[in-house]
Amino acid sequence: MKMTEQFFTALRSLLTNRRRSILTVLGIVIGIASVITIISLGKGVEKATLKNLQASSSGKQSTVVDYYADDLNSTASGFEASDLALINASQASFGLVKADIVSDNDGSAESEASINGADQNVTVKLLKYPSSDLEILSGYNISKNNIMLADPVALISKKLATSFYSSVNQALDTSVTVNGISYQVIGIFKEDMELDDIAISKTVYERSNNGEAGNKLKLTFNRGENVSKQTKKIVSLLNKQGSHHLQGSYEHMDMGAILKGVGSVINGLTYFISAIAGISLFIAGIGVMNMMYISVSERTQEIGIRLAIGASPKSILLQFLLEAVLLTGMGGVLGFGIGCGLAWLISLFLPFRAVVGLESFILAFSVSAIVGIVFGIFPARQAAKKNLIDILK
Amino acid sequence: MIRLERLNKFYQQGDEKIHVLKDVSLQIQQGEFVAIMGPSGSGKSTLINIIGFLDHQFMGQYRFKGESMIDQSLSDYARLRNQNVGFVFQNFKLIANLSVAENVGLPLLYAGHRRKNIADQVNDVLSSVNLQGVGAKLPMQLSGGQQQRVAIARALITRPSFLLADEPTGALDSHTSQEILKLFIDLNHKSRSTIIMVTHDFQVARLSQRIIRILDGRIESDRSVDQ
Repeated sequence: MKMTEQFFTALRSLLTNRRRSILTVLGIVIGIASVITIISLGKGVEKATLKNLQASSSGKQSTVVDYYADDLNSTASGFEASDLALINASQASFGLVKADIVSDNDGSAESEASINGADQNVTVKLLKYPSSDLEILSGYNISKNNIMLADPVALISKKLATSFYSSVNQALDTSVTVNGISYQVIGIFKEDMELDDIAISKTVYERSNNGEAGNKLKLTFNRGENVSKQTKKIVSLLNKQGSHHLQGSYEHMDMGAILKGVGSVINGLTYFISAIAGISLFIAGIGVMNMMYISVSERTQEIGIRLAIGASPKSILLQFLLEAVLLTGMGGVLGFGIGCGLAWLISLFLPFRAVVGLESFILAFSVSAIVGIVFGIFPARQAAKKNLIDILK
Repeated sequence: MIRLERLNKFYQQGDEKIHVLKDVSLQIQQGEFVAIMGPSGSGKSTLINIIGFLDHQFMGQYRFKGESMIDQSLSDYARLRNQNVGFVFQNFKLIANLSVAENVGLPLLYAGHRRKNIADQVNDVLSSVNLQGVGAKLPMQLSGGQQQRVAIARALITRPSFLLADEPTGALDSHTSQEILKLFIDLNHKSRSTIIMVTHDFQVARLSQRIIRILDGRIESDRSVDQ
């Protein structure tokens, strides 16, 4: 019999016994669906982490070196122009594209400010976007336009305003100098939990910083560079010769290592759930085997008839094996679909999207087909070995 | 066409070895209509199982169209059955969940034809047994006589060398039996089909040309029927 005809013959038999086929395949569907769900979510996490940690939209990778002063109250910046010169002197050997000193980019910085003629150490909130968190008591908030145009405007806290001026309103439209740049005070805000004193545009602040002082050094590397190794080299250079190496230490948080850690946790989880799914597939496989044995004994007459009119034992074996493989294969495809849907649904509630790849589909299909072959071969062999004369008696 | 020489067959039943066929020698020519008669247990079923390539375990020689059947493999036997024998059984042996047309076409599929190319052949053979327009029905929707005619159509579709009918009228009433036997006679006369029919009913057997009687594994008599 031609292979395509074998295929249709097997499909027909399965469809004749639709309910039984569906119930048998349920275990496969659940097993495959759970594996696909976890793999898709795992891949989603991996992709999201990679994206977040490396910020490599242009393909370049970057790392950050922090300076921590030994004296916690010191406001001195750990990086100066001399440090840049030191690093840039051997830029090529590090595979560096550029090194930039940046202010603390967690949104706030410690700085000296001059208000109403008096100097004061203040915490500066650096705004990349207009902040809606600040409660404006008087004046205006910093607008999107202000930030886009890099206007030197500032908001100051009510506490700061009242300690330098007799009233809140008197502080409006005065100027405050931060890091050598004079900002116009356009609004007064109520102190929040972060205890910021002044809020200004980050762009303007960085300009004032002029790339010359700060506690963070952003290193941008060429694509393909061993980022964590090179960063380590730079850190040890800084700790020996850096401008403030006597007053503090330069440290690098190795994001590559963290990423690896996160990845291995996800991998572990994937293996764990795959193992559970493997057990469920095994049990489902036994279910398929059981159903095929029942089918073979129920269809003894059919087997006899087929053999009598010219089916070879081999084609009987193939028919029953194909039935098992088709059954599990369809279960695999169905499970893949459900798994994708489930992963998508779950990722709606998570901060990342599930990633489904072709290899997931191939995995689902091949695993289920293999289950079909492994658990279908014994019943199929039994069918092919039936004694024709006994059946036809 | 069929030539059996000193055929012997033993069954193992428990510790006992049963000698079912004893030195059976027999020749059947192309175009003959032969009835094999005998009481149950006489060995006639065993004999036709060997003739019909269902049973390959025997002693002696079986030559089919001059070729020895000893040393043929199991898949050779499957091919021989498919191409040379049309089986008609007492209880029809149609596959219940396949339509009439699918049942009839099945031997062609095993012969390597494609499903979509056999519809005409199936219709032709169905009309040759007077069963037009039932192809889409399931066997259970037909009467016994119709089912047996479906089985005959299935037996005829590969244009086999001979038909092997094992009690073809055993499950049918006398009127339907007559129809089926008339069909056999027509096939034998018009298409020169070779028919080997097993029966225990002399009224059926006497419609053939030659009656072979078997008793206790031996051929008791082998003579032509006087028309």
